[in-house]
Amino acid sequence: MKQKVILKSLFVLGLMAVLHAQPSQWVDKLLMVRHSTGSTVPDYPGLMEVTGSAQVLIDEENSPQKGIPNLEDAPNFPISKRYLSMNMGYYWYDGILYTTASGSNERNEDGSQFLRWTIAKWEDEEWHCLGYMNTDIATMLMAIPCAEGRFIIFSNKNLKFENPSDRTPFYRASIPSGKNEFRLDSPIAHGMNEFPSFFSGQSLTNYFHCQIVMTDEYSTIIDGKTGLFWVFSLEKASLVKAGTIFKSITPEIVANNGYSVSPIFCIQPEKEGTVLMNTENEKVLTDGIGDYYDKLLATPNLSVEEILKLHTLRDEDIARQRPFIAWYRLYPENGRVEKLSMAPEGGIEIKEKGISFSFRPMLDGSVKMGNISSQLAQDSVKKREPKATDK
Amino acid sequence: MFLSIMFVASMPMLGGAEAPADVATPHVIAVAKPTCRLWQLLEGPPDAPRFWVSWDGGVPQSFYTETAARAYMKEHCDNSEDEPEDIIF
Repeated sequence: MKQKVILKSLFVLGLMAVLHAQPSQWVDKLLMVRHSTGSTVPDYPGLMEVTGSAQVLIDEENSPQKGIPNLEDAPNFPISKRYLSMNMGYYWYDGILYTTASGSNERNEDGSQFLRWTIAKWEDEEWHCLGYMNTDIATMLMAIPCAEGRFIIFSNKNLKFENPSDRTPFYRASIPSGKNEFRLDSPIAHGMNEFPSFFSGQSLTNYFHCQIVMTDEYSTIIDGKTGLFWVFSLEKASLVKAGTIFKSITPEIVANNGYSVSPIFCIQPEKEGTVLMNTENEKVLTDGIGDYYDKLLATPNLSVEEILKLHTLRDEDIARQRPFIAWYRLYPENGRVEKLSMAPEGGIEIKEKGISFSFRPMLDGSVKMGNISSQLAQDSVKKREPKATDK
Repeated sequence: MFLSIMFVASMPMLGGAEAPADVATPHVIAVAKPTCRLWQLLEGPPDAPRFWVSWDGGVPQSFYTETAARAYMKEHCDNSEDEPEDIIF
């Protein structure tokens, strides 16, 4: 399929709401978001080719105040760009920004392949390499910074400890003094024993559905397909609470990798240290609506145009039958989940065409609806493109 | 274009003649990875994936997050701009 046909297929029908914004992080009074940049193709303003990205600190008007380049774009970094192209998130802790990245496979002397994961920190306006960790090529890693030079490693695989009772996607890690290779110190039990299938296979199926929310003292990981969550203390590099957002979750739903329709729309940290999210109304999560479209979407060899058309029909159908949006607040210090009786100020409770379900938190505790990353990308595209000639 | 090379040992040769049983005959299979492009949907259905990976001759793949898209690109694409270098610590 030529690029032109691809682009035609990717151009969608009208402006509608967008979802699945990654959580941002508060940095003093600014909010850090990931900002992809690029350019649109003539005649297809709704599609941008991503040629760069950065972490951007924005103010309450969503105006960028400071940009931090991607690790792979760091000048004079000791590791080649080809080994840093796959970035697994940027996280602040105690005034320093950390990231984990990997890229092309490397080879051992015996010809076997491995992945080198680089962990770096942004300090004094430049990237510094902290060290690395090697894994097999099918392993994914995210390193969450904690106190005293420790990290919580979140992987899609059981990394090291072979005792079945130690199987977990979570580990404590550190870098021994004078060394440059990170060491897995101990496993952190995942605490989901009531869901035996959660980590029973070769890898964590919902790994890329999990989102990490950083607050000053805690890191909360939430599986967007099931509502399972884990809260970690960053001071102690330990699990505080493993829990569930939705009371309707069952071992069977977890065994099927989650609800048929992703229940969680958007998750963001609040300035006060809590975690706010909006979701489908829990009463409808098991009603089977959307299953029809899921089966259609699973049809092999669908064109891009067909996929997007099905998503449009699915969204319209679901919005008709599931018009309500629920809001929840999670308190990391004890893992308590509160279902809000009404949306926070600025939030919406009824789905409306053209209104995004994504939101950003504000300093005063209210929210502003909209997908920040898409807005920033659109703004950057408008700035780049030449203005139309006046008549 | 970067070539991903796989070795397969002890395969029978075409034409009926077979390699001696005690000699492993490596076959080099060059698998060319395409050069991909990453796209972000700025407008679209609420539940549609935002990130797409495309290449000439292939069906574009969709992802909900850029992280997942880049993980896919790492595995299936070759967008390297330079030759492998020694890693210096």
